[in-house]
Amino acid sequence: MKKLLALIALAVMPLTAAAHGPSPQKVEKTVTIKADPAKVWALIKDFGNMQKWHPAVASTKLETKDGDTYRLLTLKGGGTIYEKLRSADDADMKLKYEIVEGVLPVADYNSFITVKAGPGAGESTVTWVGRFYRVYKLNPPIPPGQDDESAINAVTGVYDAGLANLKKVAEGN
Amino acid sequence: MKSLLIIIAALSTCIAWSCQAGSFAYISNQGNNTVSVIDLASNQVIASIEVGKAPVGVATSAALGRTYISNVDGQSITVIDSQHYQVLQELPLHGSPVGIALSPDSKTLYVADWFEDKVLALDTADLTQQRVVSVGKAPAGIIVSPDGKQLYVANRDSNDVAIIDTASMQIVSRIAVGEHPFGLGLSRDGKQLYAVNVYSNSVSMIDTQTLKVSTIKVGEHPYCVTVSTDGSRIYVTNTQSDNVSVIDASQQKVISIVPVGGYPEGISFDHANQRVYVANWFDNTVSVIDASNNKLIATIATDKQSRAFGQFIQETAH
Repeated sequence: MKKLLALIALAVMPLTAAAHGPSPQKVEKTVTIKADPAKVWALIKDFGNMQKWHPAVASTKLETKDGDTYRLLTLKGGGTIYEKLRSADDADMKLKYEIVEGVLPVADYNSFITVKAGPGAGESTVTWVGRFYRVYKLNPPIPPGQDDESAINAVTGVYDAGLANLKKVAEGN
Repeated sequence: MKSLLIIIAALSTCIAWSCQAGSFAYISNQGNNTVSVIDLASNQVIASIEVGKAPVGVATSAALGRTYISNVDGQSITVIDSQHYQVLQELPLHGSPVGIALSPDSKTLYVADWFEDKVLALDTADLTQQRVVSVGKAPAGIIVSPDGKQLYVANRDSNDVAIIDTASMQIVSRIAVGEHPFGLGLSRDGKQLYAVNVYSNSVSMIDTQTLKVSTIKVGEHPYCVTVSTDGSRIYVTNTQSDNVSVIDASQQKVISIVPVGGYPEGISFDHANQRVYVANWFDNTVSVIDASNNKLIATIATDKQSRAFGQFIQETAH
């Protein structure tokens, strides 16, 4: 009964609200890899082959539309994420992209990954940063799974798993 | 000798009344619910004040000795005594306050409610006295004309700017701008209004008399804007290119791009020292730009996820 009431409440809520919640959220994760920065950057910038280093990605389909580059990630756990490449800068070894749509519980997600030389010789430091909003667009009460915490946890999970496996892949021969 | 005595007398009055001459920036830090107070003479953080949850908007008045902070997740306004850097009150609101601005006479505090598509007008002498106007979708930046008669509201999800008559609290006009207008800026003479279009990567320049609009391209995902003392320069934060576009207002073009910290959001012009202050959300810092040469001259550590949305510099009476 309680569930039903919640559903009805949802149904009568105005759907004309803002495109996202009011407070942007941030996740920043870093890993040190014992591999040459050029080698690590080559993996990151290969926008159409994320499955080569991210363990949650089953396959990546690259496409171009109106001069822009997109990828459709099919996840091992089911579901897809459709992403747009913003830039891939070889000089700064910085890749910028955003999520167009997908299964992550986030809104207005944009992100960058940088590769820097060091701290040791032949080592790389990779930093993955995301800025995004929760899914729920209205005032509290916020439905479970659509709040700030759910968004942060999901992105943290993606970054942690991705960077750990990137290290493994880049350090292996 | 006589002037020395006057100076000493003035100084001791200041000490007795705890008055602070100079300019101060109030930087809202979304990530740990604080406001950093920066003394613009030294560019040092001199106080950190705990406010409500997810502070974003800032409005400040030297005449009142007050700074108002909108706490969007806390659904409240924090009132700060800006003489003693203490919280006087946290006023609960029904909605989610984002944009916040004071009338030039400091008698009225305007608060934009992001989700409920309205703007509140609060009497600063008695904050329970509130008037309300319904506006477009997701009102974001707000600013008041120098004569106090008009309030400008950026309706982010309606892609327009509403002009509200403050006496009647009625919308008198709506001006179409670019996609997703967020921050607003106004020249000191009130003749030029600027709206930053987040999705269009542009700024709309609106002549407040003729309501004619021209558009200037800036960097990626721009957020906020401020105007120099004489109105000749416009400064825009580009959140996704980590820099500030400097626009020549008469030529209507970008003349300089100044690299600042990560995800720059709020920006205000320091008229006393001719500097530009920029809150960097990603870096937890404030960048200081010398307006005479558009060079970055200082970076000040603040606190988590600095936003400082609105006119956050208080120029205190001497």
